[in-house]
Amino acid sequence: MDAVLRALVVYLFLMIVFRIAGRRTLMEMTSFDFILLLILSEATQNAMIGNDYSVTNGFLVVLTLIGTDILFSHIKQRSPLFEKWLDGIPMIIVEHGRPLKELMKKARVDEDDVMASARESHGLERMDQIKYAVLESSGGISIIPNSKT
Amino acid sequence: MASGLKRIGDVEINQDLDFQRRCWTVQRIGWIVMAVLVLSALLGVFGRGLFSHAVVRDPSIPLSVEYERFGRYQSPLTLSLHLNPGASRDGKVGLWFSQDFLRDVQIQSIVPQPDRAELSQNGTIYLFGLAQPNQGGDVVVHFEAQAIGALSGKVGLTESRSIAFTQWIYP
Repeated sequence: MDAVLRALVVYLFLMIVFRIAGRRTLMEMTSFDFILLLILSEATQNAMIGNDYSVTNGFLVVLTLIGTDILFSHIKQRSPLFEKWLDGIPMIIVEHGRPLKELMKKARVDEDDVMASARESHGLERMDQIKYAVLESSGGISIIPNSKT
Repeated sequence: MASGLKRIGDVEINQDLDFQRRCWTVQRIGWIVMAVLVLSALLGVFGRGLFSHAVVRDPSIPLSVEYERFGRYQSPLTLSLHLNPGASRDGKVGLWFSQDFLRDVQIQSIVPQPDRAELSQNGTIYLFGLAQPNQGGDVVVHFEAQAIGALSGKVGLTESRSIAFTQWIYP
């Protein structure tokens, strides 16, 4: 019984902590965040597996994790509110070349991040070439460039 | 996911700034909770620290018990027992541990090694030899809690002359 409970609790805990951490925590892949990603899995391993080295325990943990994932995706399908809270929603941060500074500050995104994304996706050079920049729920920034007239 | 797509300027997007602001408030509350948890852990609320370390004495018994108020499941804990010179009898000293304590822990080692363990009605008595008659000493018990929740135990020279203590074991 405790195999299932451990896996469930660890999954829920990680989900809540990452939502509290905010989406930029997930997306900013500096070397520091890369390290975090690596050692997080080590940190949760003992909590999930415990002292039990049996194959059965391992299987139960995997089943619980995947099962919970499937359950959550069904709940998200049925309840848009649940999905909003769990996944987050996109937000426009640059409108017709003008960065919306208050929203960007709250979301912990700065103009450098927007320009980096603009260069990577469309090879844009300046802020005024951006029609819309959207902070997606994944934490990435998508750029809609000005249409060529 | 086509619920609530709004048209903002030229873009169809399910933006909701009210919800977003609520999210940010919840996030900030979450950060405060995280900080409080980490601080409490540093202070010993989750085991091993200022708040966790405790000593219990009974003036009528030549024994003092040093233990951790908080511990964690299957995680190492230490019980330090300080015996005063009056505790010995016939060159030996016996330490009685209550059954409810022994049942819920797994003892890793007792330092020094007891000479003998004797089964008693509600517990076990460990007998230690003494280097000099009528001396005191320290016995350290390393153990791991095998049950979650309140772990109560008694340690003493005999069942009637024992000191009770309680530990809270986190899962």
